Formats: sequence, structure tokens, C-alpha cells
Amino acid sequence: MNKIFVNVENLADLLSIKGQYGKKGIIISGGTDIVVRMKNNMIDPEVLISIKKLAELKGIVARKTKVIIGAGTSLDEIENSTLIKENYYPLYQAVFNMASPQLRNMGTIGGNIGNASPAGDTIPPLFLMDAEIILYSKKGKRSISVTEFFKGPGKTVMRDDEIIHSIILKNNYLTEKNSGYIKVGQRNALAISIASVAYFKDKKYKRFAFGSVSPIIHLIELKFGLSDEQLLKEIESYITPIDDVRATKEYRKQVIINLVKDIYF
Amino acid sequence: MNIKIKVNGQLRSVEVEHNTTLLQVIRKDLNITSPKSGCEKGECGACTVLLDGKPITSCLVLAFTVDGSEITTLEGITPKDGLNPIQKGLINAGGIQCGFCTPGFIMSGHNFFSKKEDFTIDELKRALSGNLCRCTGYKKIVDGMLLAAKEMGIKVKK
Ligand SMILES: Cc1cc2nc3c(=O)[nH]c(=O)nc-3n(C[C@H](O)[C@H](O)[C@H](O)COP(=O)(O)OP(=O)(O)OC[C@H]3O[C@@H](n4cnc5c(N)ncnc54)[C@H](O)[C@@H]3O)c2cc1C
Ligand code: FES
Ligand code: FES
Repeated sequence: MNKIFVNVENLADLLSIKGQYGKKGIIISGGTDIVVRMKNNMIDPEVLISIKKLAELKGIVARKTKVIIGAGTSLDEIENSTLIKENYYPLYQAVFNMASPQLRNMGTIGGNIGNASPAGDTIPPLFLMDAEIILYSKKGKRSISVTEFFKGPGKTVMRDDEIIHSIILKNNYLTEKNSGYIKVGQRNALAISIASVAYFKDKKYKRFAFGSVSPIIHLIELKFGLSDEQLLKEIESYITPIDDVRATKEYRKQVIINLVKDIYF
Repeated sequence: MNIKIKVNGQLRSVEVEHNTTLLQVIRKDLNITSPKSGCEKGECGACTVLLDGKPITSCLVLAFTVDGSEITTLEGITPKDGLNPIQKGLINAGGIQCGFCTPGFIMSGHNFFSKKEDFTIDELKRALSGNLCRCTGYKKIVDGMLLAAKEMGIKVKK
């Protein structure tokens, strides 16, 4: 079959083409996930829609107490944004430790979210930020909380005619002093995480979101003054990791428990 | 699809399929052979070129998506007769053995130095972290980059 592959240069064209082809129309942003999957013969897209040249989806802007990141913004641009580093430190730290310089120039936040991997490094920080994912289609726009967006590995609530337009970050008080993102991988550059945690510490409570250790990421809030045992009990139900080539489930579980204890106590 | 790209300053026009990579275009269609095909999955950096001024792994870029872009390879930053400072540094420090990784390292190093007046060794290592070498053990590559920085008048911060 003849393949269709196009570069879209404005949002209206993107929505109309995506509306026309639906599920068959695969969006390619940085391509760092898609191209690997094509090479591994995991997918063979009939219609590829590149948004690399779509300026409307790029950039980081501040609006009062919120920050809006376009879905096509590169990981490198996020890493180098002082706005992000000063107000959303866990996202900065997550991006800083992703992949490699080359991959950060290519890969985008929309691609990391669209991929919906439990190991996606930008995702746990978004839970601390009460982030909203803004979706567009020809029918209009909708805003979904990050807590509702993911439905399992590779699964989201996005409809076949929809695209990720932008991500809205709230809670702009996440600084280097009170928050962070810790990733345990096999080596620094290029490692996909084995287990990770985004955290925020306040006087009254601490919040956590774990990556790579459950099919769906949750935001967990813990009061102060829990004992070792109580802490374990609180977090245990959120850790349901799998065995894979990178680590066993027992190892993953222990890594998260150790990380949480370090942060909590 | 017919794409037009500017490669090392020259406008080129190439016919590509949906799954043709930028690396294939550069090596096969344009016969520019400094970017190497190593892992073909974004991990080794042997295929690193500059896309609109930024280092990327060309094995993971579909050529049709970069229609209208500018690409720079090692050939584009090397004088016609002679060597660039990074090439000289790597040779003098013994940072080249089989040489397969070298063009990729040079592109990453070139991009790093082009934006800096001074730098720390950690920043340099981070800039090179997307390039793998199976021969040298990296120390001599960093040493070679430091020689190049010296020649270019870029200082190491303490
Ligand atoms: C060597 C290597 C190392 C890596 N290391 C890491 C790492 O450390 N941490 C990590 O989290 N990931 C890592 N990745 C995975 C990948 O680089 C990231 O997930 C990246 O953010 C993907 O972005 P992209 O723009 O390249 O995605 P693409 O491949 O372009 O797209 C990914 C998915 O999202 C969809 N999509 C993209 N944009 C939109 C949009 N606007 N609307 C709707 N759907 C969209 C696509 O259709 C596709 O399904 C690595 C990949 C490689 C090859
Ligand atoms: S060949 Fe492209 S990164 Fe290895
Ligand atoms: S010199 Fe052989 S891979 Fe680096």
C-alpha cells in the first residue's frame, strides 16, 4: 500500500488531517519513540503526520500562576528554561537526566506523554503540578487532569481524532529546596528508568508520584509522623511493578521503598 | 516525496520514502560518509550531525520531517586542506583508535564549544554523554577536547 506522509505547518491542517485519518494517522513529533518502533517492526504506519515544523505547538509561556508548555517543545528547551527550573524543579530534574543531549534536542514533552509509558520521566513530576493536558480536535478543545489522562501502559483517554496541544502546570512553588525527581537507572545517559520518584515536602505532608513501578501513576500524600511500618503500608498498594529485562519486581519495589524512606525520614 | 535540505551550505534535493532516515540520505544519496551507522537506535551517537544547529542522531530522524532544514556534518566544519582544532586535539591526545565514533564526538564537541567562552569538565563530559566509544576509554577523548579548547582560546572554569 502507498504510504502517506506529510508535514503540517498549522494547527487547522493538523486537526483536519487527524480528523480525516483518525487512528491510522500517526503523529510524529521528535520521532524518538516512533522511529524506534518502526525499525523494530512493531508498527508500520500507513499515514505519518509530522508536527516538527508546527511552531504553534512549541514554546513555554507564563500566565499569572500557571505555565503553559506546547506539546512540541523539546526536552532541551524545557531543561534550559529558568521558569521551569525555578518553579517546577522536579520537571527540570527529570528532563536534565533524560536520554542524551542529542535525544533531548529531538524528543518532545508531547511525545513523552503520548507514548504513555510508566517509565516516561516527565510524567511523575506532572502529578505534583496538578497538570492539565490540553487536547484539540476539529470538534474543539478539552482539558484533562493528568490524574485522569493515563489508562495503562501506552493507553490514554485521547480520542482517535485528538492531538495533545499543550500542558498546563500549576502549583508553581516546587523549588530545589522542597522538591525533586530521583531516577534509578542502569547508567546515566540513555538509561530508561528502573524506578523513579517525584516528591514535594511541606511542613504538614509529603507528596510522591512513582514512575516505572505500577501500570498507572498515582499521587500519594503522606502525613507527617508515620512510623516505618505505617509508611510501608501506605505506599505498598501503589507499588505493583513488573519483571522485565531491566529489573525484577522485587528489586524495583525495594528501590522505591528505600527512596521514599530517604525522602520521608 | 521530494525534500530540499541545505547540507554543509549546499542546497540539495532528494527523493525520500516515508521511512528513509536522514542518515541514509546523507550517506547514500549525498555520499557524505562521516556520519556512521552504528546502533541505528539513538544510543551510540556515531550518526550525530547538526540539524538547524543542534546535534541530533540522524538514524532516528525521518528525512521527510526535515524538509527545508539545514544540516551540518563533520565535512562542513573542516577546512578544505587541513584539520579543525578538535581533530588535531584528538589526534595529539591519542583520542582516536578505530575512529568509528570520532565524527560523532567531534560534532557534539563542536556544538558545545561554539556556544561557550568557558566551561567545566563536567559540562564537557555531559555534552559528550550521548556518544559511545568502544576503544579509547573516554579519557583521551576528553583530553583531546581540552587541547582543542586551548587552541580555540576557550577556558576551563574551576
Ligand atoms: C536512546 C533513547 C533513550 C531514551 N531515554 C529516555 C529517558 O531517559 N526517559 C524517557 O522518559 N524517555 C526516554 N526515551 C524515549 C523518548 O525519547 C521520549 O519518550 C521522548 O520524550 C519522546 O518524544 P518524541 O517527540 O520523540 O516522540 P514521538 O516518537 O514523536 O512520539 C511518541 C508518541 O506520542 C505521540 N505523539 C507525539 N506528539 C503528540 C501530540 N502532540 N499529540 C498526540 N500524540 C502525540 C506519537 O504519535 C507517538 O505515539 C528514550 C528514547 C531513546 C531512543
Ligand atoms: S547509529 Fe544513530 S545513534 Fe547509533
Ligand atoms: S575509537 Fe573506536 S569506537 Fe571510539
